[in-house]
Amino acid sequence: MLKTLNILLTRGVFILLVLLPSALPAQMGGVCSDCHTMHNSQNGSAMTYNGSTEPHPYLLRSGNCIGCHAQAVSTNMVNGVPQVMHTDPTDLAAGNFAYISGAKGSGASQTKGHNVVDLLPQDTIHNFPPGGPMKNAGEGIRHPDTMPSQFTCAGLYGCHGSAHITDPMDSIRGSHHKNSGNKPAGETVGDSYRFLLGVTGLEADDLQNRDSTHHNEYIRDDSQLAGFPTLVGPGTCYWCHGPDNPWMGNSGDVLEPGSGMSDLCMRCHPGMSSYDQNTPGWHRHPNNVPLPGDSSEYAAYTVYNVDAPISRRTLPDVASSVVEPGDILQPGTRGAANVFCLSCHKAHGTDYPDMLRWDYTGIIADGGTSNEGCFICHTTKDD
Amino acid sequence: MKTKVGLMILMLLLLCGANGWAKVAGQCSDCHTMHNSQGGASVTGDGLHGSLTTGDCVGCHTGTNVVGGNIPYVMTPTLSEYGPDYVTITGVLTNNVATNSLAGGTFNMVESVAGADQFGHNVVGISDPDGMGQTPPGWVAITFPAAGGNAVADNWTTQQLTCAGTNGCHGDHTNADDFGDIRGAHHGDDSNINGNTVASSFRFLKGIMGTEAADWELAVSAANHNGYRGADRIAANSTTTGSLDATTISYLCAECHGLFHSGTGEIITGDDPTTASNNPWLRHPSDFALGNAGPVEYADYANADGALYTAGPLAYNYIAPLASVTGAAVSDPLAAGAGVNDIVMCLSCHRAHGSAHDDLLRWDYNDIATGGEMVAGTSTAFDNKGCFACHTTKD
Repeated sequence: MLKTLNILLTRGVFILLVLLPSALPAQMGGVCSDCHTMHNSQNGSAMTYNGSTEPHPYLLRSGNCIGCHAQAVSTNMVNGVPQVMHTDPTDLAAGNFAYISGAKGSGASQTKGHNVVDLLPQDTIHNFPPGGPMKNAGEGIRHPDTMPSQFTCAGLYGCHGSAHITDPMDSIRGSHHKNSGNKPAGETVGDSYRFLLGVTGLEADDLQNRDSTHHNEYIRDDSQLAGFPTLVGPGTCYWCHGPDNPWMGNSGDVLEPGSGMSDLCMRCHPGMSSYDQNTPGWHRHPNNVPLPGDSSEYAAYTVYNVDAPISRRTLPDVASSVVEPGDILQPGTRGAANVFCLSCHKAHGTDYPDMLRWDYTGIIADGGTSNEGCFICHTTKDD
Repeated sequence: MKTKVGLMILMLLLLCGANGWAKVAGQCSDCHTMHNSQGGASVTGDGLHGSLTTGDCVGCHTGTNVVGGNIPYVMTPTLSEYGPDYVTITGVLTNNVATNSLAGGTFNMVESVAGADQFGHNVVGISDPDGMGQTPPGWVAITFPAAGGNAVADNWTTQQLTCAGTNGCHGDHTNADDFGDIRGAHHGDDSNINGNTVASSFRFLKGIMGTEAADWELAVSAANHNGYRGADRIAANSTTTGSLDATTISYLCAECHGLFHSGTGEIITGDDPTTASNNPWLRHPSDFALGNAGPVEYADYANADGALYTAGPLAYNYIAPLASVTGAAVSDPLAAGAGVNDIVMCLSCHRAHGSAHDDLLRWDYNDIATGGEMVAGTSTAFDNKGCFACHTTKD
């Protein structure tokens, strides 16, 4: 009887699992008129978000990314469109550009986020990415003369879309309607994590890092992705692909983009890499290395904290609350939790200088702040 | 005796012409009254009408369409049953056979529902002027004259839309009066639709070519439907008649809604839609071949039932139809390849007279939700229907 019941339960669970979708759809959804207008005419008025009577490319109601994604409203979603600049108390995982302008937070500061063109004035402190190419500098990487003053949401001079296409809208073309699931493979823009070509990951459906069981999952993987063009010559290509780019990756080869989030950051901030400091005495904060499991300090970080995310060698199918430090001498440790750029920073903006997830001035060693901020990993340094 | 009967039959056949339905047919008193007096009473009930007719355009063309009827009714005495159509949210196909409405749709919704300007064209005698103003959206004066005719008059501030005439669709925009502009068409020879006269133009739309379904699509199907003329354009920005094909049904619409059809920087960023990327559309294409659109999603063009494309006689979608460069009525729009019978046109999405949906659309735009998300109901209800008949992967 019990054996029969056990068999029935097992088979029933199996059937149920088979019938359940393996991943939730990541394609955008909603009525077409949220984003598009067929003729830019409705009831005698234009349908563009800025009121323009001239139609926009792709029949969109906005001529650029920010028209849909930065409507400067009080919610972090508008008709299912994620907002990257808003005054909602809850930010999406990548942060909020509103902190830079002061529309939200403790006050305007260009140190609080990326100064994206059309959204914010140009950064007056940095005219090049920190740790990155210096425009026409004597040493280091030569900044291409064709580089614009500010960078864009997408395209060659942006983060999203294809970096091989200059125009931001064209670089993102076709991605929004790509039904890729929430664990994309990274082979096309639409099939990449958050439309970051080449980057893989697990996308939280509501784009929020809420808690230990509801968050994005980031991958640590700097293996060379197939399909990218090989180095073709001097000029613009060298800036991203080397050999002038000091970000060499773990393989030591000249870089083609890897699929990890840090690899994306390193395209513009290669000088921040810590790879060549794989010896005692780090010169820069470790990046893309496992949390050392042989140290009781880091081994104490065992439950995922959305204030200090980690990346993993292997992506789970659902967000995991487990943090498993690894062996720094064996970077390929499977399942090991890795520290990476987004462990400390957010991609768009935060309310803290340097786009940090916390106020660095509030990180006081031996100050007893109880495992917050830096001390989420450095668990013993606040004791 | 037998010879005489045979001769009479032969004469009768000759007199009927090549197409028994082309010219108006039936008893003269169906449409005319000699003196507007019969049995001591008025025949029209509302005075005299042009051309000795029993009613104006609206009067004669209001009625209940029945199979075998000889007068196309664009409006019924009571609220008509519009179709074919999809049921809201559920996407169930309904009213696809022998409903009350014809290919052009129905004026009933704009006529009978107060303030319902969004359901149809506000034609004189049917509805009040459009509360948003009478100038057609996308209006460009003069630039789109009818082939062999005139441009629609540029006096919308004082003139409401009419059935025919200088501010109407039918006729050739020569005479301000409906009757004057359509004169001779009903009894004219339209056995050969060549656009040369109003009578020999598709549905009395001067210059427009096409194939006229005998029953005006009362019982529409993949085998019984109009054939609309389209153009496989490679230049989108010209506004001069010499560069545009003035025989297409989309050109007819452009005569009033020109900016939605052509114009520099109005339709596509570049000019040639077949050129490389970074040449995005600005407005929805019309008079462009679906097969040249590029992405494979359009090769799955679905039929009215939502079935993805399968070559054969059931492929034609009579709710989201495509035009032909010849104006032929085909049953399989994709069989001949790109640029032949797969032309996107204004009528791919809209009805000419009116519909049960906003913006004279052939379906409810609010039911079109990408990503499988519906306002309510099942997530697959409108799969490959409405907009998704062409945009097959965006649902």
